[in-house]
Amino acid sequence: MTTKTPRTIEKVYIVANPRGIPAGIPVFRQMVGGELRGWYEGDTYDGPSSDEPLRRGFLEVKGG
Amino acid sequence: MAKSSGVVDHYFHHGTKISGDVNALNSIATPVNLLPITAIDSTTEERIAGLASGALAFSCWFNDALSQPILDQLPSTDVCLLYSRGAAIGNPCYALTAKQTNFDPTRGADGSWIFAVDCQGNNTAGEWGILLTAGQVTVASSAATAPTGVVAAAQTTAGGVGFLQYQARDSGTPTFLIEDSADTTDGDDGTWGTLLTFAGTGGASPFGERKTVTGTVEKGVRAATPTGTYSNAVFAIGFRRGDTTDRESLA
Repeated sequence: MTTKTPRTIEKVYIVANPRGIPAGIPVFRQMVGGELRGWYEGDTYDGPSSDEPLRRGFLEVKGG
Repeated sequence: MAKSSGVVDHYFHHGTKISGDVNALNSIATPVNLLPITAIDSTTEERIAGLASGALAFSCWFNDALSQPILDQLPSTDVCLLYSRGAAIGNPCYALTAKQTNFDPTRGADGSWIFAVDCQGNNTAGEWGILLTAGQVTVASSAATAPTGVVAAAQTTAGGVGFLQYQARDSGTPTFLIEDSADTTDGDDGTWGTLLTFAGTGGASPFGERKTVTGTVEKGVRAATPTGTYSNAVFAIGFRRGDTTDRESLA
């Protein structure tokens, strides 16, 4: 008999566009390592802190 | 700010900073017409606000290297104007979308040559806001640090109005934005969302633009580093936070 190990599905944050920002314009920006970085609609968020973008609806959770 | 003079102020005429040619700002006005609505059962006059407008008048030295080729056009289209009290972020500014009605010289007996310019508001009233840039600024590229934001006590829910005065760039096409933040503590840190994107992008010609946004404006507001590929964008940005008592509701 084989025991299946539960697979862990990691949360992925995808950038949403609740304000209808035009294409090519960042939905939001944060400082990362001393540099300004922007995230655009559809990007996968890989920044330092997801709490505030999540609260403002700039991120949607996929998976997890 | 505390008590202040009007020493070292700035004036932008549809994108171009022409403060160095302006001799005096003779009038900055936001007239509101009052309509009497007194009833027969009233013991006092009753009035409500009618139409509002704006006006800005100034006198200008002749300078064919800067202001004269701009002001003598007397365009039939609107011109966007911005006066700023000083040039610090957060300082007051007055913005108006207007028709320019004249460019009339007076040659004085002392040899002076001064031009009178009047601008009358078109479809908007004069508006007082705050500067989000330190007067006119030059931003080298989209990698530059954004200007420090202005942080109010709390978010508001009545929208806002942005005022852009774009003068020049060396190359490329900058796009101008205003951002807001709910979690900034100092105007620099935190998450900044794009609040407003100006329609006009930087090219060969200067221009001014007034752009509204509705709904929630978080407590921190700043002029974002312009996006796009460009070098040395020269511009100024002001902003008026909407209020629940505004004539034009942006809630």
